[in-house]
Parts: sequence; structure tokens; C-alpha cells
Amino acid sequence: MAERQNADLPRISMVGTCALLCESTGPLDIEHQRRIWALTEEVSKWKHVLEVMPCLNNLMVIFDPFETTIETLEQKLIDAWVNCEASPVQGKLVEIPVVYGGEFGLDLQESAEHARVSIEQFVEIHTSADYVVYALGSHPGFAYMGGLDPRIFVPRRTEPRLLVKAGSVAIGGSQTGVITWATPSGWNLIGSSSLSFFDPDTEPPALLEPGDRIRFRAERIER
Amino acid sequence: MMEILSCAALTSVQDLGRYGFRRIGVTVAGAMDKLALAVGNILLGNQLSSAGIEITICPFRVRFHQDTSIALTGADCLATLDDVPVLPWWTRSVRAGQVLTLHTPVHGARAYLTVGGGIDVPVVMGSRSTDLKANFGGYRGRALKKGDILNIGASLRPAASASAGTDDFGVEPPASALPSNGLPQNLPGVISVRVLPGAEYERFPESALELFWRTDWVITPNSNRVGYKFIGPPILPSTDLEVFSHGLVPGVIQIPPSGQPMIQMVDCNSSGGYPNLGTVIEADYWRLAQARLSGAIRFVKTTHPEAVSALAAERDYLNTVTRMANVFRAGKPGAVNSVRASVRRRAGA
Amino acid sequence: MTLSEVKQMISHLRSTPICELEVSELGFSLKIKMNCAPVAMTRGGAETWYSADRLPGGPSSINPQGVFLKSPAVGQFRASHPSRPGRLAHLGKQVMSGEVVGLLKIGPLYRAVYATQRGTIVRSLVEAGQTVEYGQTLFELSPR
Repeated sequence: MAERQNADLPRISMVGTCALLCESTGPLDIEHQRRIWALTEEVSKWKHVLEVMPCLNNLMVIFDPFETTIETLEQKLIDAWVNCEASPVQGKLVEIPVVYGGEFGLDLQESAEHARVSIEQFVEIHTSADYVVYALGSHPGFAYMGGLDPRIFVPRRTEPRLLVKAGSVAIGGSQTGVITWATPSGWNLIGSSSLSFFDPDTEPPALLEPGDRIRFRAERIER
Repeated sequence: MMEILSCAALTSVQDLGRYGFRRIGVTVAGAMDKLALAVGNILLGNQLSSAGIEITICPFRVRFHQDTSIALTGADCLATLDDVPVLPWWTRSVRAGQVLTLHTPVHGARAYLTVGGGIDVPVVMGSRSTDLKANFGGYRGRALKKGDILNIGASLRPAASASAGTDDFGVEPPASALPSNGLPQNLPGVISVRVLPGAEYERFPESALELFWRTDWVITPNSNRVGYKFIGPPILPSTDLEVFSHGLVPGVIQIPPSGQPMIQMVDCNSSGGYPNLGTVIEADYWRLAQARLSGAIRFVKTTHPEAVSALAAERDYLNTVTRMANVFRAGKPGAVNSVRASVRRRAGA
Repeated sequence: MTLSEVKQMISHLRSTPICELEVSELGFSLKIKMNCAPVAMTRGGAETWYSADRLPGGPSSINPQGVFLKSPAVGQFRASHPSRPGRLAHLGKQVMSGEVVGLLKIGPLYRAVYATQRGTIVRSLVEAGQTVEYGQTLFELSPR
């Protein structure tokens, strides 16, 4: 068995009768997330595993409790964790056109002020980074993305909005993304995109996948 | 077909859920009380995963425009068919022109109407469930309303011959058929459910945990298919908790910063970042689904072997009901492993 | 009428379908209600006579107008539904045609015992928990 520099063992906990949560104790970064992707791929093939849900630095494994025990599954997960290699997946490049500010980017002004830059600079910083999709989750087609420049981290709002428009481009703390459905949110709305991220009638239904590389492109900035 | 004559909010077409898509953010949905829906389908000889109607607020009235069979399970809605009372947890035939009425139940929160052959709506992403948050699936991606006309699938049952078999019978409901979860029901209106500790369980001090187990948590009106919100004494962790977003299943009990617990239910987001104190066991999920607003829940700590044993009891009940129902209808004997058996097939595993 | 004449009359009445007789003469009136008279059961418009001791379920007291509700299956008789308080039927209850008056439990399933016509439950011949046969008489109904 190869020695691993960062072979910190995962934390495994129950999620009810039929699921286990397997969490990395390391920091959230692309290297750790690549191992989550690799592990997801492998665990999905195991007999008695019904579904695997990868998320940020963790994966949830749903299994048939009549066919296997949590002790058995836990041991298998630890072994797989220690031995897995980071997934080399390089996803597709997706460019997301965004109209910044205006009626659907209500928090752009405040966010720029928080970052102590002008609106133009804020948009420039947001559009010049390459983001990676770490995982999908939350609501249909929504991508958790890594790579937001720390200069434009903006804390979540104290009062979430009851409903934000589908396609809202937003920043919540150290994360950015596109809210793909009309849903409550405490993120800061900086713009909007008309790209379709989810369609239940197409195959695959979601546009993005873990590993995809994302760039935001400013169509225009509205005041 | 059947026509909705009268319908309140929160009535929708649901089957056993849409599985395999959590990882693209799609919620499982499906019936809140999947056990009740499954039993209705079993009584009718339907596939376990046939779609039925979940009714939350009554009165609900529907007219049948064809001869068919129905089953009523879940909360006892004092149903009448053309003013003739129908017992709860019962199946019987109906004739074209007859009107079924469901009234507000005395106990329980959700009733299920299943029909021979199931509700015939398109299968979207492997399921006929309505995703009420994302507005797809089921009947036009929305709750039902007055005037809606639903098609009914062809019945899979062989016609019961005159001398053999019957299509008019009932079943002992889970509340009396399943072993009680052995917990004292202290007060009327308090439902006990068993809970397995979750990822952040040990981040809460002993005093907070004791308070959590001891309190009768009142279900606030802000509770629905997405989640139940409770009021009670704040349950606070030892230190501020930062938790990365992780996968969720229905039954996960989260503690947001306010310290007021909430339970994720069938329409919950597929992932979230609040601390997970514990999860209601799958076998007690139907009890949760039948809890009424302003009622109270008492959480009771359990072990994994007990949780599996409770699920096995549920599976055995379903198997026995299936065997006997097939004999009653003089159809072919079959077996079903559990509500999860259909989950397994649908996820393609 | 002497007492021995009354006894003879009763003896005679036993072999007739008469269940009630009223005699009145000057200064005297006699009413006789027969408990053991033969029973007429009407099915499909045809009358059939049974003697008291050959009725299925063998009730000893007969109402020739009575209707008897039979068990639809072998099973355990239940007087109430587990989801509902109270009995489905009780003595003196007026029931509609098609109303459920009891349940037969067979494994986890139930068959219903229905009132075959409108009337009043006048007798119950079964107890909750009792195992019954197919066709066993469970209730006597006095039609409306």
C-alpha cells in the first residue's frame, strides 16, 4: 500500500438507516475534491450501494441495509479512501454570459463597496477567474463552484430573500454560482444569466458536471 | 378518467419518488407517507411504483368517468362514495359517474387515493412524482386543482371472476399492524419517532442533547413537504459550527443558528450546509408524515440494528399484505421486498 | 278459556306459521307471542319454511320477518375498525342497505359484513375475536 502524504482518514457518520456520510477532514480545495470524484466513481459500482451523492469535500452513500452492514461499508469506504487516486477528470469549458447589475443584480453595488472596489473592477475580478464545478446539488442544476477570488468574497445576507429569480448569478461567502431555480437564498445577487442549467426533458438533464471549467463573460453592466 | 370536482392546496400526483438524481440537485419528492401509497397499490394489484394522489387538505371530491377500482390509505378521511361511507385502508370498485368525497380527518395529515392501473401522467426522469419546487413531473408540474382531468392507467389486475376472488376488502393499517415503536405516547397529539445520531451530534454539549431528547417539539405552521420547523428551547452547539454542504435525505434533523430544529422532508434540497444532529429512521418516516401542524414530535435515540429491525418489520408487513391481497383477488401470487425494492430498480443498481 | 286450553292452543300454534295471536272474548283477552314458531325466509320472492331447530346458526328465537346476515368468509370476527372508535354495529342500531356492520379478519386483511337491506340490528350472534365459518349467521336484522 503506497504511503500517502495527506491520507487523513475520513470521518464517517450515519445519515439515518440507509446512508453514510463520508467527510474529508482536509481543507476544501481542488485536490481534495478530485479524490471525492474518484471515490464517488468507485463506490457507485459497489453492490448494495443504491446511490452516491458527492458534495463539498464529502460524499453520502445510500445503501441497502438488508444486504450489508454499516461496519462492512465503513471499512470498505476507509480502504477505498486511503487507496484512491485523485480523479484526472478535466471537464468541458462552459462560458456563462452574464448581465451584471440592474434589477436582477440588486446587490452588486453593495458587494463592490464591501470589496472596496468599483463595480467595473468587481466585474473584472469575477470574470477573469477560471472556476471549477466541485459538485452539483441544492436545487436542480445548481453547481457549487471553486475558484472565487478572495478579494470579492461577500458574506451571506443576514436576511435571506424569500425568492430569487432563476438564473441569478450570486456570491455567498467564499462561493459563487448561478442559482438555477426560483428559490429562497441568502446569497448576494450580482447579475443574471439566461443560460438553461436544467431541463428535465433533455438527456442529461443538467448542463454542468463536476470537473467542468466555468468562465463568466460580462455581456454588459447595468446601473 | 377522473375529474377533480373540489380540491384544496397541497394535493398532487405522487409515486414512490424520483431516485438517482440527488447529485444534480433534484429532490426525491414522492409521497410523504410512502408506506400508505405502497399499500394502496398493493391492495389494487398495481405496480408498487404506480402514481396516486396525495391529499393534504379536505374536502376533496372527484368524479370517476369510467368503471375502475380505488384504494384509500393514509389518514382516515371519513370517505363517502355517493354518500355511502367507505372504510379507511380499503379497496373497492367504483362505477362511472360515482363521486368520492374525502373529509377532514380526525387523526393524521395525509390521505392517499390510488386507482387501478395508477394515475397516467408522463414519466419524467424515471418517476411520475410532481416536483412542486421545480415545477415538473406529475400533473403538469403543479398541484391539482378543480377541473383537472386525470387519465387512469389500464388495470393490471385480472378481472375477478364472480365466484372466486373479491375486489372489496381492507387491510389492517400500519398503526396497529406494525410493532409499536415501543415508546410511551405521553400526551395525545405527541408522536414519537426514533432517531440515529448524525455527523454533528457530538458537537453539542450533553445539556443541549438532553434538552433535545426531552422536549415535545411543536410543529409550526411553517412546515410542509420541504421541511418541518419546530419551536422549543434553543439547542446550541459547544462552538460555532461551519459545515460544508453535504447530501441530505428526508428525515435529517438540522440545527440552524437559531437553535430551533428542523427536519428535511421529501421536497428538501438535495444538499445543504446546516449541522446535522440526527436523522429520523426510515421506518418511522410515515409517522412523521402523518403528524399534524401544531402537533408535537418527541425524538427518541435508537441504534442502527433497531432501525434495520423496524424496517424489516415494515417489509414483512408489505409482503404479507401482498400475498393475501393476491389470494383475495385470485390473481397471481407475487412478492415485494419493500418500498426500497422499487428504489433499487429505479436507480438502475 | 281454561289454562289447559291455552296450553293446547300454544301446542297447536307451534306447528303453524302464526307468531302472534290475540283472542278476546267478553271479559277475557289473551295474547300469545310465539318464540319458537317456524321461520319463513323469503329469497328472490320464494318462501321457504324452516323449523326453528334447523336454521343455520341455530338461533332459538325467531322473527319470521327477520333477515340474517351471514359471514362472507372464514375469519376472525371484529366488531370495530382499528382506526375508528366504537363498534360498527350494536343492538338496536338502524342500518342502511350496504352499511358495514362488522369485519372478518383474515391475516392482515378484512372482509366486510354488510347489511343486506335497511333495518334494525335486533340480535348479534357472534362476539369480537370469535372465529367464524363461511356462511355463519352473525346478525339478525329486522327489516324496516
